[in-house]
Amino acid sequence: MLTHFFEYEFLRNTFFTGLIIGIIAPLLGTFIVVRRLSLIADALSHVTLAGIAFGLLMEKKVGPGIITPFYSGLISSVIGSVFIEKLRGIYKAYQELAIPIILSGGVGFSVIFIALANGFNTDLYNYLFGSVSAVSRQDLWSIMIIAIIVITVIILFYKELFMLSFDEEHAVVSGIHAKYIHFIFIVLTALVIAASIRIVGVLLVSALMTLPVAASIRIAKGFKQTILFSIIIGEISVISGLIFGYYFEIPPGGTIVMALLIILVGTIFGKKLYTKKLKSNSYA
Amino acid sequence: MSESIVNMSKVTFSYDDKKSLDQVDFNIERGSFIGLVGPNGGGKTTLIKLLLGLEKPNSGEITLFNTPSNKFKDWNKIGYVSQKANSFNRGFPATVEEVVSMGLTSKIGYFKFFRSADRKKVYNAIEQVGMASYLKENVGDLSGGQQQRIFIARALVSNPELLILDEPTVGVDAENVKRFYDLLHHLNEKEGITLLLVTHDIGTMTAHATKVACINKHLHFHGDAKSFQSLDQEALSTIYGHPLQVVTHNH
Repeated sequence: MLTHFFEYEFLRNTFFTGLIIGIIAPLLGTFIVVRRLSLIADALSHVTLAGIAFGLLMEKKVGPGIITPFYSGLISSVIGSVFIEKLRGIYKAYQELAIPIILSGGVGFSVIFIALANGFNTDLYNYLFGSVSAVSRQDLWSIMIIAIIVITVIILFYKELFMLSFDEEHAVVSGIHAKYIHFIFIVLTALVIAASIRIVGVLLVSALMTLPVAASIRIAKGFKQTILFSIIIGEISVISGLIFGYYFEIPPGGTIVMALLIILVGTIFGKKLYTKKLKSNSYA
Repeated sequence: MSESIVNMSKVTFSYDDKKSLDQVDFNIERGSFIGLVGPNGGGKTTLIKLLLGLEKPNSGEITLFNTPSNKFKDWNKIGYVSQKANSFNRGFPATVEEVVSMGLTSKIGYFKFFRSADRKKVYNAIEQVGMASYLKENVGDLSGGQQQRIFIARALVSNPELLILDEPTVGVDAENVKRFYDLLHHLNEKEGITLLLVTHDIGTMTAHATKVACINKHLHFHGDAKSFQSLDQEALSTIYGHPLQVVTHNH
């Protein structure tokens, strides 16, 4: 079943991209979830959509070669992330307000660009729900570079990020530069979202960042283990989702999320059964 | 008389126009165990913020370990257990070891990693508070009293000479309050750590601390715990601005 993925270059690109985003999306997702910012990924993915729509519009009106949708999406995602951080600073008491502001802004721009281009049909459909055939070799290289940047920065700032996520006040008291680190982190998130969108699609990219963590947090001990389990769950879901998506001709965004949900439900019930068993053993 | 590690002289601090501290002279001697009491809004938290360098005084001078506080760099000498430490997100997946190692994060510095010597320090701090057998447990799964010990360990891991604890016994049951004070005695007497304990529970504190400071905008009392206990109700009521019932616990 897997042989097609090595036979055809476009499938191979997709497969490798899948392996990469299966690592980086849950890796950042763990920090996002514990900081209770799960919806930020959604806001940023919609901003990315605006950039993608702009890129598609340019391709249609000006011709290819100016800017590809991948890069225009990447740029708008990063710009959106900067705005989110700024808005969170402005509305200190209502930090979650940044999310609907950015999300609606992203959708608003997307609608305008799509209308200006008189619709995009299949291309846009691929960006919304993901595609197994959308990754070019150049995209793959860009995504690899993004992954190297993301993983390096996370390793370098791991202890500061962890401390900020656990107890921001204490981190600031101890002299951690919260503002800069938040900024770096949200830009990384924007990069990961832009990288993941080709495969999982705009509407489901946040699922790949948060659902593995939702499952892992139930069973892991400690933060490092939560990251590790999240990545394992992310990888299993991406690989199985891509294979099923390809064979049943369903956008992989859908099949990957199904795989994630199955694992999530499994961990919820598995944990319940396990604790029940522990209890009945301790009574015995 | 032993050496003063903290010296505040004529310190005044206001939030907007409201004076929170007015001409306060306060010092902490090495090795002492000071209980800091006073009514809500009386300036206890402000005093701590000034000691931690989070706020700057409007006037007056603060000296920390013989260095003026605006030039003081050695913040690792001061450990701090916040009032809010116990209100962390209980679902946060972090082991005891991971939480305590946060106490070293800023000491190690950016772009550097934990070494085995650091891990040893973390383990020692956890052992100091008697929680070594919970090393790999999630902090959220522990009881309130145990969590509090972990936060004390986090403050201890960078080897502070002065440990500041802000309202640490709020919401802790009587049994754990006793264990908490036992731990403080151990740290103070055996490890030689100077303690500044902010608390509402005057009765329990005066039975344990060597010195008491009572603050309500001004420093109203600063002396040994025995003479604070003998202050009559009337004097205390004047300081607090309302009648006060102190329950004494003599050990």
